[in-house]
Amino acid sequence: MSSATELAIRGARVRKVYPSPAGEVVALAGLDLEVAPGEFVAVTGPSGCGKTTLLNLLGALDRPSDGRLEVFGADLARLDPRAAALYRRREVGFVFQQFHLVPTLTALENVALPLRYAGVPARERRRRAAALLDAVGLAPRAGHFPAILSGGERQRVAVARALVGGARLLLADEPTGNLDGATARDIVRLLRERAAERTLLLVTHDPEVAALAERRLRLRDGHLEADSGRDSGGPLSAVVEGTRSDPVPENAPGPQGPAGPARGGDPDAPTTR
Amino acid sequence: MVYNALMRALLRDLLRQRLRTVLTVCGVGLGIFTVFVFGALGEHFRLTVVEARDYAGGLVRLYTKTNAEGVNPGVSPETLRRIEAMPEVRCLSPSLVLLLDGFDLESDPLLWLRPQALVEGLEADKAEAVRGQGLRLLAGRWLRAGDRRVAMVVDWLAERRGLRLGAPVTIRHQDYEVVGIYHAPDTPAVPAAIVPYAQLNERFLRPEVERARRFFRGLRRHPLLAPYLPPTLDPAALDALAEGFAHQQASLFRIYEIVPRDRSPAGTQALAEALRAQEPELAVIDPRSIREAMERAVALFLVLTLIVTVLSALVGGLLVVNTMAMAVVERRREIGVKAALGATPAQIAREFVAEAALLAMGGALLGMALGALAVAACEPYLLDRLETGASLFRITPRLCAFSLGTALATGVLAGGIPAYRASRTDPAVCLREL
Ligand SMILES: Nc1ncnc2c1ncn2[C@@H]1O[C@H](COP(=O)(O)OP(=O)(O)OP(=O)(O)O)[C@@H](O)[C@H]1O
Ligand SMILES: [Mg+2]
Repeated sequence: MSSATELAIRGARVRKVYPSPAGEVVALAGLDLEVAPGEFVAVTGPSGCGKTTLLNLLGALDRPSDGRLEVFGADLARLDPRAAALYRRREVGFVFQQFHLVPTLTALENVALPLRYAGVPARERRRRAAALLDAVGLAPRAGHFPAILSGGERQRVAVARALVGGARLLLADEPTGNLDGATARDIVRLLRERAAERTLLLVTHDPEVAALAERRLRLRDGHLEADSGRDSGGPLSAVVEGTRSDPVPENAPGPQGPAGPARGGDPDAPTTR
Repeated sequence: MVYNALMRALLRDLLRQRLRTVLTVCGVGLGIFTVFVFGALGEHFRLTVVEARDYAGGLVRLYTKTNAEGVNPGVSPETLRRIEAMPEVRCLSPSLVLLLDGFDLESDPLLWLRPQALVEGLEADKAEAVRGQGLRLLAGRWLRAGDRRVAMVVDWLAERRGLRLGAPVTIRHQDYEVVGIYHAPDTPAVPAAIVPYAQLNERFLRPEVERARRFFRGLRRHPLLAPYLPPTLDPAALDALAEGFAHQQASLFRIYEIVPRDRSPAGTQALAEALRAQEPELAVIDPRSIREAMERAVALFLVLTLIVTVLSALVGGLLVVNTMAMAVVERRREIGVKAALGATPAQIAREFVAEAALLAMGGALLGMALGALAVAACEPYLLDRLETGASLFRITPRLCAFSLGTALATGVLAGGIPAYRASRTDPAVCLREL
């Protein structure tokens, strides 16, 4: 058994159930997941399968209903709102499909925002934010407001903002969903470059984008349907376990080990059958 | 630098909904305007109390009072001599306070409805001893022995009537020469002019004596009394009788100002006690009881100011709550984003509270500016109508701090409610909202 510190993410039977007036919605139905530090993982799957939910849990924006979920040794099920905020500040950088820049802040101020919450002195904040804006190629637009930036530029600002706090875990939820193909590849390349030694989970519907990842997870109805691209047989295998109590979707795969082609082919295709 | 950046961000947030921000600032401004103007009036009354303490300090006042048998004996010359002989007493002067322009209903039919400028008669050689502590001589001199038709006038009266040293001033339809100009506290009952007692008293008594004389002479023709009056009765004897009667009557209105040797509060109080023990049939008024009476008089006004303040703060507060609640709803997604970036619930709440405080402070500055303008515009007009003092509203540092404090407290408390709600929103849910 590897110690917790060796893993970036360790999830066991993670469930997320949303209560709703029309009955419970099971977004994650007992997911097991292990991710090593520095891995670049693409998360794919049909709409509503729980991808965003998974990222929200990993980012402590939401709490698992059941199961264990640890990120860098922190037990995410046990964080109160303040501790969750501190965890996000320290460990997590988010990139969203809708960019989610704060419209009343300039590009530079947006990038510096996480540092403001972290209590970094103004001068230092400006310096670090400016350096990152420069790194994503937007130094000349530092004083511009998001409204006048293009989609690709906004997303680059958002990437800089996700990186500025030194987060070890980057969570990108369809960061390329609103961008054209070339710009999308740019952004992913940027993320991969700038996050070389960080753990990156990237949700995408775009096979081309997924192909850039070193590992691909495929979710379906709250289950892990496939896990491809990992070094097979390693100790860090992600395992799918259909929990007994969960209704098993018709096309849900049975328990399976890690396998499948590492690169090339259709990344969205089911791996082993 | 930090605050500049924060402030800029807050201002940009407020400018997002320009009209709403302007309306809220105006609403809060209106509330603070009311607080400010009422407060300025309240400050006037409060300071009046403070100044009355200085003015009445170090003096004991003596009145005649009606005794248990229903008789008002007046203050006899023997009593006055006895008091002057007391070791604690430095000097004593009768004081006669009358309307400066006389009781002239013809020119002002509702004259008793508003405060009037007053003139005080003091024995010329004792004027400085009596009033020297409460009034400040600005120009000229104090009254002195031998003065007859001379007057000292208060600065605001001099200014309003264009009086200078050496100029004539009309007091109760008689011309006096201005020999001194003094500054007086803006307290009711502080005279706008001081003249020699003998002069004023003589003018005041003449009609009384005349009236008494007519009455006594009329007795000769009285159907019941005339037969009993000896025909040889000297008219001069009747006149003397009339004069004595008029003086006796007038003495009932007399106030005596007594200056203690020791004018400290304790010394003054001690003299008052000694006088009460020695002259139980007279009313002895000490500075403490004057102050207490003043405090009672202004207490009502201070309570009114407080009520206005609370109501204004409440209205302003509701506006701020409404505006901030709307801002929170509009910015739910932004709240989610900030939470995702590591803002703690407290930090999110603080941003909204700061915004609410800024809104309220904007309102406060607007309200105070408008209030100051309104006071500046209205005060001269009102004072012209009243002619009783140098000011009616007083904008003090205390009042400014109070107005700002009220606005700030309103902003923080009112902003706190929506801010608390913002801090408790679920970031995951917020981020899902498009
Ligand atoms: N707050 C909520 N209350 C109820 N149901 C929810 C809530 N949030 C998500 N869900 C449901 O959970 C399931 C998973 O949602 P999730 O957003 O994780 O899907 P997704 O894989 O990100 O889909 P997409 O690719 O369309 O973004 C969906 O069926 C969704 O309706
Ligand atoms: Mg999603």
